[in-house]
Amino acid sequence: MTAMRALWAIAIVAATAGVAHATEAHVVHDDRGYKLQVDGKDLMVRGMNWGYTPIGSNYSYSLWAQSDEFVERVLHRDMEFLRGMGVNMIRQGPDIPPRWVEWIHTHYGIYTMINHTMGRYGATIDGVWIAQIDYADQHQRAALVADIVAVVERYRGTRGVALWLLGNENNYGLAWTSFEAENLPKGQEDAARATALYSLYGEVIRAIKQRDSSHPVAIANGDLQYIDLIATQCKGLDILGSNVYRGASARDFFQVVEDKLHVPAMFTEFGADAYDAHADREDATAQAEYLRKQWQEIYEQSWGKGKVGNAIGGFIFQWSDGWWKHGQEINLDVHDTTASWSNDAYPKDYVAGENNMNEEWFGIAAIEDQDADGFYQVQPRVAYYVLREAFRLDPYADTTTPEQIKTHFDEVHEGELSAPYEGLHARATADKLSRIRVSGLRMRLESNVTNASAMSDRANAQRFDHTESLFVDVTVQPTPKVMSKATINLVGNAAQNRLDPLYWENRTPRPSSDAMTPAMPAADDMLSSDHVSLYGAELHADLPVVGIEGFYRVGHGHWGYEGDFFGLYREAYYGIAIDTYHATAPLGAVLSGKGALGDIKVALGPELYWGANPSVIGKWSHAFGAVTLTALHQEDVAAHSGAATSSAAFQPVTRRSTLQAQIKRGSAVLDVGGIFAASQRVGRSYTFAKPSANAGYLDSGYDVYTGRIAWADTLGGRARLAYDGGRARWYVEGGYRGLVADAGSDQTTTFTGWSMKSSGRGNQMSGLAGALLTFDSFQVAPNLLYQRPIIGPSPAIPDRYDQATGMYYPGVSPRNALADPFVVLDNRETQGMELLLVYDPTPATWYWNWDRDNREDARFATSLDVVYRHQPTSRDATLVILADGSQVPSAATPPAHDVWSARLAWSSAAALPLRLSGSFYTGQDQANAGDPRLVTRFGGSLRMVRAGLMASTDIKIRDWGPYDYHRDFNLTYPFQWYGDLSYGLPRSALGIGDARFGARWQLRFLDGFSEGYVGDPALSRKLATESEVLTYLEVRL
Amino acid sequence: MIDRHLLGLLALTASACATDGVPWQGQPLSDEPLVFSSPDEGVHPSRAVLDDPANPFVSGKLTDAAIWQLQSSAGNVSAFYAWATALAYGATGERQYYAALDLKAILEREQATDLPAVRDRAIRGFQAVLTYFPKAVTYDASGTIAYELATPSVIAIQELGGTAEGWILVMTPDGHTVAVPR
Repeated sequence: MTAMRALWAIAIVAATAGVAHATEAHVVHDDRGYKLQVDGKDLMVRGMNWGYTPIGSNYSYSLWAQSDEFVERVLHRDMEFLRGMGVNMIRQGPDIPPRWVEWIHTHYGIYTMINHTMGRYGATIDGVWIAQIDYADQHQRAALVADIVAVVERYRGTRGVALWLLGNENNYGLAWTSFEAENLPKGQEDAARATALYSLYGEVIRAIKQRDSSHPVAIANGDLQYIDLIATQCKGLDILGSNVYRGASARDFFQVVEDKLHVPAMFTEFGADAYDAHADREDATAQAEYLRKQWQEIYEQSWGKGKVGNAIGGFIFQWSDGWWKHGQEINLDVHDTTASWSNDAYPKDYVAGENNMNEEWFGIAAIEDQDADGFYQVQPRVAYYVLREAFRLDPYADTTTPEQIKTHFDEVHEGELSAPYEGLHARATADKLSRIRVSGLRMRLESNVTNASAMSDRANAQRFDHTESLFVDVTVQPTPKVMSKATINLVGNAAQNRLDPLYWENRTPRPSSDAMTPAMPAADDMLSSDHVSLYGAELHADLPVVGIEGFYRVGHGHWGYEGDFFGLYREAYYGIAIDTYHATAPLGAVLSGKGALGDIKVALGPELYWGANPSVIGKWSHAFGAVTLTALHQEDVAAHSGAATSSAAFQPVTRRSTLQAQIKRGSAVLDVGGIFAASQRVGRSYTFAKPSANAGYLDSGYDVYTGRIAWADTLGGRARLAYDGGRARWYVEGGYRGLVADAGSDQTTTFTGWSMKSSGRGNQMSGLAGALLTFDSFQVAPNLLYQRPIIGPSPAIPDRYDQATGMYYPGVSPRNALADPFVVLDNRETQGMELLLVYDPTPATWYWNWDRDNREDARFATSLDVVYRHQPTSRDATLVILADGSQVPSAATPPAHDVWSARLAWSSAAALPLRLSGSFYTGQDQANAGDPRLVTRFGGSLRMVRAGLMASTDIKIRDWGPYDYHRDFNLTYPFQWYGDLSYGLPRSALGIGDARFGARWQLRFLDGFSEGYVGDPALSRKLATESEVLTYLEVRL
Repeated sequence: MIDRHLLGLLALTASACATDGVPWQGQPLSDEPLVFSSPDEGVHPSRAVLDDPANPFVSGKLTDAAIWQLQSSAGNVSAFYAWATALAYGATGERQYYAALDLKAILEREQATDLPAVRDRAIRGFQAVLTYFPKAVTYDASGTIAYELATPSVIAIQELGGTAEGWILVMTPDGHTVAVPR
């Protein structure tokens, strides 16, 4: 009984404590103005837009998905800084777990304002990701209200939660074209859509107040745009929050708010960037001066100072720099100095007609020197020290008069307080501004032991060997807007006994007398010059009228989303393949016009993508209302010499012109385009065959004809209609391409990750249709393809000489790209069916991101892609690469046969920081060079990452070997296995860099279809074995 | 062709893919005298024979089997074109040797209008065997016994009144004559 009483007592005390500790906040108003009271005390909001995004990450990163250990490490460091400065509230999205809100308040006394952006950057509704919310749509409105109410229910009892904030300058989102900041809209042109937006604000405010009366509700408006709509639509609003970028003074801001709304005003964002766009240098002092004046004005306009009296504080934008903000998807590890919008309220670096707002420099703390865990160092700028001094003044003390405020702020001098930042930052700045510097080193040491059984041609090969490789990054930065980087590779020894002998350090091919033997390297022949090579290089120049991106062996994206409807400028990310085959691509530069030339892009170079001829590609694109027109022209100026591998084989010299119109209407997008290509081939002859009614030519069953390329054969067209209906999305497309109207394949992603796409090759007519149906977290996506060459493949008919008649009957062979004006390859007749199933409970992190394994935040997400291709005819000859590097047509062609494949992929972030991902595949497919043996293969992979520990394994059963020529010549292995286990030492272990050491295992069985098998193929059950153990140490500085 | 009409693009396709309209029927090989159309025709690395309008083997797939049949049964001019065409598509010492050998036969049978040019071309053809394919061989009918081609090439050059550059003939201890590099 006594025990029961004790338990009840504990429960009552705990419950009472919970209620007692929920933070309560209210706005109080009297004739001297407005104040915010939190937990019964006056509180001027000295707020901070605080967040944590590691260098190299972007908006998709979530600190709260990291381990507790890492989160605490970040919070202890940053909250200590904030408390020391005098910050008393931070602004957070509803992804922060309530326990961390309490943790921050408990440990540092800092409150949190919970900010639901109300669909500003899209929202998941009924399991479907809606990128652009339609605030007039009743269903979407209801979903948003329900989501916000759920957020309120989740947080309202949380100790430390002080305010609710709705939206984030959603009014700007009505006019801006992307999620990046642009020039601030001046007018009120979108009144109809704005009415829908603000009426939703009002609806949400009422819904919150029905459930929670302990926390005031604010909205985050973009300045005071549509304030009259706010007055009429947002009844019950407690605080007008506003993102204000008016420079040193908000001028009439507070008076207008009082006149129109009669509520207190709070800056939800304000501040200044720390980069002088005009002088092209960091200017932390100017930033501090702006912020000092802004805060002085807040103090002066606060309760009881004799002015408007409605300023209750603000949230500085922002704590630390966001290196991802310009571009948002690219150059994430570059602190971009590009000014992306213009604001004359910041006269220190404003020049009419030029941008001066540097989005990546708004932090009052710089970030740098990030370690392998993603933990960066912060260096508070001058503003931090200035505001720390300013905040020592209690705004609501009896002695804080307007005169005292002026005196206090006048005594805070940026110049005197700049020493801490400038002094501590000087050395890093000096390094950064060095015009030429070694910016990185990577050293890799490997040793490997190889074993092989008697029936392998490696049986007597050297068993032990080693590889040493050093990569040196040299950066040249003559001005802040021009940067180039080159990576030099130095090789000591390159192991010659690897089971996979083609790799970057192994450079010199072994001469071979056997023309059909693929090139193999040999260290004995390695010339001294091969020990040093240029591994890659890039150039970035941000000039007044043009931006230049130069690249050598550094990847680039395609222009498919910019109107390149026929894939002329192709994506050039090849991963390890360009190292394997020592490709010298991509090599070239892209010039992007600015200002009046903003519609123009030009790419030029010797090999813009792997296998490309030296060429120039120009693009012009312009939007005319809902219609965007894009024109491209490509002109090859010479033929590319040599190819590293068959996947980047010869392409004939060509020229192409395309025109595309994209029309958007509601949820539908229509793309229509035409192509004119390869006019150089007009007049060239070709051979084609048709089934004969009798024995045919040379008893082949075909009649054989000679044709000639006509102008009409250079023309093609394509149209695609896509409709995004939320839960149901679909597209249809059709195309006709003349015999020589070759272009690139479709590199864009339509709705989901379908693998079956349109081939861009000429000589075909094709049609595709697909639908994406969403059922909460599940997606079902069928996809269909029909394509048929206009002129089919040539059969193989041997020639004959009839001695009796003296007649010669020429033979017919499959066409090839070297000798014929067109071919049938990936445009072969196909009826394809694909079914893609996806389970992804977190659609905001798109499942098909290329780095899904690292970014997907679902506890479990998976996809299954099944593809079946009915191929009723054969195709022409592909090109293969011989040992001497020459390209020749394959001796045979794959016969008509259906193929299929299935691939299951999954990833899990259920136990962060442990990340798991894997795949399983199976399928039946054909070799490239004509061997008729079908390959039915299986395999899978598993990858695990946890802190510094990484483990991965790959298994392939009855699959081709790792190189292109394995599939070309149908070289398969009964079993292949790779395993890799490594551990990365924390930076503190070495003090100056990161180190990773590990081991890789490889095992494979060989049979008569395998490269290097020297047993009797007839004894098919006798397998050879090859294995390798490789240990490595990699150090990065 | 039917597919294209199915597209309903008659206007477009009517002018496209223009054919000669007549299916292949084979062609009689001419016994006309050889007339070169370029100065290096039939001598590696020239591929000029592919542009010779008199060459009957430019179109279509020329197989080794047919070439050997032509070498044994057709006229020397046709055989020369066959070997020279094969040489242009894929250079080997054997193809170069037989192209030169056929030129030598044409010279001996006076089946050309410009015989001095044929003599010169034959000598250069044999010399190309020595220069570019010094280890070239040909096989007997069984395809198993190989014969080196340097020695007959040097001998042929001498028979044509020329000098094999970089090569001489020597007598082996067993009494055979073989060509060796100087």
